[in-house]
Amino acid sequence: MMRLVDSRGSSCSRSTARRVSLWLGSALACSSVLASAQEATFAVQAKKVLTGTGEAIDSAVVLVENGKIRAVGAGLAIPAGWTVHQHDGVVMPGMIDLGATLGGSELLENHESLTPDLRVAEGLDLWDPSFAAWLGAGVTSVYVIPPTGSVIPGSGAVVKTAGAAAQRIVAAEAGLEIGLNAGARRRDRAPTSVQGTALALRDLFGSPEAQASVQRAKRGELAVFAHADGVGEVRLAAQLAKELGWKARLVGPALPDQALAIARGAAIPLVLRPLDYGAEERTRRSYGALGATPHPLGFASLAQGGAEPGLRRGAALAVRAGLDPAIALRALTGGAAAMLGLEARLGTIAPGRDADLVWLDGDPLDLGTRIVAVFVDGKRADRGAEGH
Amino acid sequence: MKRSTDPVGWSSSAARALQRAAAWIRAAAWISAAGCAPVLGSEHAFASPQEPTPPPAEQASAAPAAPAAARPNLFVQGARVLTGRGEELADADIAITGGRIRGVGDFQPPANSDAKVVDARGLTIVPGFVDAASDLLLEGEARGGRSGGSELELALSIDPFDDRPRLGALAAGVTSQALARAAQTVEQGLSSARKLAYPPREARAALGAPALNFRIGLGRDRASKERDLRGLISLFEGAEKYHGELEKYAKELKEYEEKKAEYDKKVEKEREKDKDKPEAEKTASKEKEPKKPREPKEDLGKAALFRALQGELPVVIQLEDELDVENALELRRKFGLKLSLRGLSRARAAVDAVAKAGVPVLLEVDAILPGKELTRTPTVARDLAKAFVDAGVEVAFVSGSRGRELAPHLVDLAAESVSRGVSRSAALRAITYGPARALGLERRVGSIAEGCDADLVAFDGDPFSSAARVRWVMVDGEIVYAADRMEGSAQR
Repeated sequence: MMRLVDSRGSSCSRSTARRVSLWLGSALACSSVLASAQEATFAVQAKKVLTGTGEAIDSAVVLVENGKIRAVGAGLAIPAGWTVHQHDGVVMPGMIDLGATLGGSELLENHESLTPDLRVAEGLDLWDPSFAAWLGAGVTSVYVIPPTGSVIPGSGAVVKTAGAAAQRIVAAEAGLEIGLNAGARRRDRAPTSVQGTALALRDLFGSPEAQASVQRAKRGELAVFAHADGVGEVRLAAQLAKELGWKARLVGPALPDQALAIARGAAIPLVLRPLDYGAEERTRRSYGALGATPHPLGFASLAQGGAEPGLRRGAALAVRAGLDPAIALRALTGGAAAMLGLEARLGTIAPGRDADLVWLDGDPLDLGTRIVAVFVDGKRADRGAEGH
Repeated sequence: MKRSTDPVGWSSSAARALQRAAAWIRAAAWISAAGCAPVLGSEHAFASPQEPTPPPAEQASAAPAAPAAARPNLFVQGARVLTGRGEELADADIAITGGRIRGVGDFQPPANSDAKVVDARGLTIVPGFVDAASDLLLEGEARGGRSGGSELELALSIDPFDDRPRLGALAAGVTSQALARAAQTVEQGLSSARKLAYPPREARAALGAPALNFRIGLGRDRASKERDLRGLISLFEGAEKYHGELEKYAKELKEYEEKKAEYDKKVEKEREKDKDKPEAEKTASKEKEPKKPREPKEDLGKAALFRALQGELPVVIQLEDELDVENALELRRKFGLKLSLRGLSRARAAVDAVAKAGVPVLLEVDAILPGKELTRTPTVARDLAKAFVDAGVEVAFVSGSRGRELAPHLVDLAAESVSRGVSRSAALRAITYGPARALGLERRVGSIAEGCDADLVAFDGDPFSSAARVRWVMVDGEIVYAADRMEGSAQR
């Protein structure tokens, strides 16, 4: 339990533990961090491995070394002396939530409508209990976004839901958030309308003195996550993306099939809210109508804290409604990583990727399937976490 | 206290008020005349005779929908069948006569018969889902609100204009449903069950299962819980008193009728005597005419309560925590109610008490998936449903006060309960046989067994698998929803 392995992200060092206990003023937190420390190098033998690329390998072995995946495949030779974990179930990559406001309740900044240089990464409380809840649901990385409330509330950060604090922020500035939806506007300051939003954005992106993040977004170096709800907003997002040179992702359309028709032509990836039991028949049908159309998809809980992301349920209900299961699974993993530009680290079980793994007792898209264990950077991370 | 089934003597004219009340309750519930042939659960239910034996004559007569001794006119063949009571049959046939299941097993339709055959190879067939409490059909105002009273008949609040919720739930495999609401009052009214395949006001939709609904523990403090309990006790005592008044009235009326007859005879005699006398000499009768007793004011609510006291009308109490459960069980002890409990989202500590009392529980989403965003109550125990199942309680998962959202997802809720530790067979039972039993309708719906209505749902995979979809829904032996047909019509 107290093995101290000094390798990046693979174990809890004594100094990290001390820091954690100081920050939280609690010895408990320290012990839970220590309890999750494990061998940095091990093999998993699973009944089935879903790699996140669409591939399913039966009776596969995953080799994990120093928090990274060394190899994956059926009938892989396990090096002598390695610990072997047997899992009579499914292993998949840690899931990715493409938009959630976790990390504290003090992140809202909405007095101005355009604050592109605000970085949510700087305001994050990494010990917000919601991270543990997301972790328990099999989500190992979250694209944390500032709360909705202005047209450009700033940039979002990709954060792991567990691990040593120093390594949890994967990308401090992963995307520029732009809201074309009603939640981004306020009655008491401009812009108050959709067309006003378009004007404000054109002005900002046309200005040579625009902020650094805007310049980066203009050059396509920073992805733009454009939140659009209704079809009109979706249309506008596609139009602005073309005009202003955005590397755009379309987030949260109410009717995904209609959004897809627009996004396909413009080659814009879609980020969907997870379906829930309360969804209307029309909405459900719209998710189902996506069927097996090949198009980059991801899921964003768009939650503001809370007890669960509902991502897996949302994907499962979309599949029940008609979405192709392989597409849904990729949207939760590899597809989402690609949208963040982090496919070299997250979202797939392949050599060199972070060892973020979820063990399940069945098909991840069946509602009855339970999460058995979650690993982040090769370490068991779900013990003591809420749920499952 | 004496409680006979015929306390006033129904022949007495004075009991008309009670009879009226009883008739009202029956009318309110639209009890259908047909009962299920009582053969469920016996060892021969799944015997596999080559030819199903005709049911005994008296059973046939109890079920006018199924012509006596008729041969099966419908065969559903080659399906994997989950009976709803835990059995699983691979490659089974279901023989159906006049809308009722005649047998489950290995059947071949007679060569020269004109029986219809439904090829169900590759499909998994489960009983039509039963939702034992839902506000799906009720119009908006009636679902919550503050109006209450035991005489309140929920069937009157069915929305006659919006048929989409009903058809949506039917397409998701929900074939039977009992009305329920979640008003902010103790007395929630009189519920009844119906089949979703038919317009809810049509007689053939009626399944009966009338029940009186209450809600306690709305205020969460002990004092208001105590007040709810006392309020209910005095309600039931009031019903007893009312019934006592009716009995007294019946007795007095009988005495009056005797005296009146005597008096009339006397007066008649005197009149006979005075017949020939001139008008002025006629003697008025010395005797005073007996006074007619006053009939107590008719009170349908109290009449319904009294029928609950007699055990004729089951009682459903909606509640939240263990103290509420304690109070509900206290009522049951005191008055001998036929009780089931609904809600229980914070009653983890009362699981054993519920099991010991042997009352069924109707769990809503807060209790099936505690801690889920959709739920309103704080998490107490993530495995609440599992705890009830493990304790041997008859569990029913219901859409409850969120019928519009959740009734089409009954099977998904059951599927997700598996991730909370409920076994697959218990989860399926909780939306089929469990609720049917809780409603007292287990001889008609909720299982695939001889004598039950042919209410079947065919999935093209395991019903709990996300990849599986409803292919068709059958009610009373008729296909009432077919996915292929819908897909065809959806393409403009």
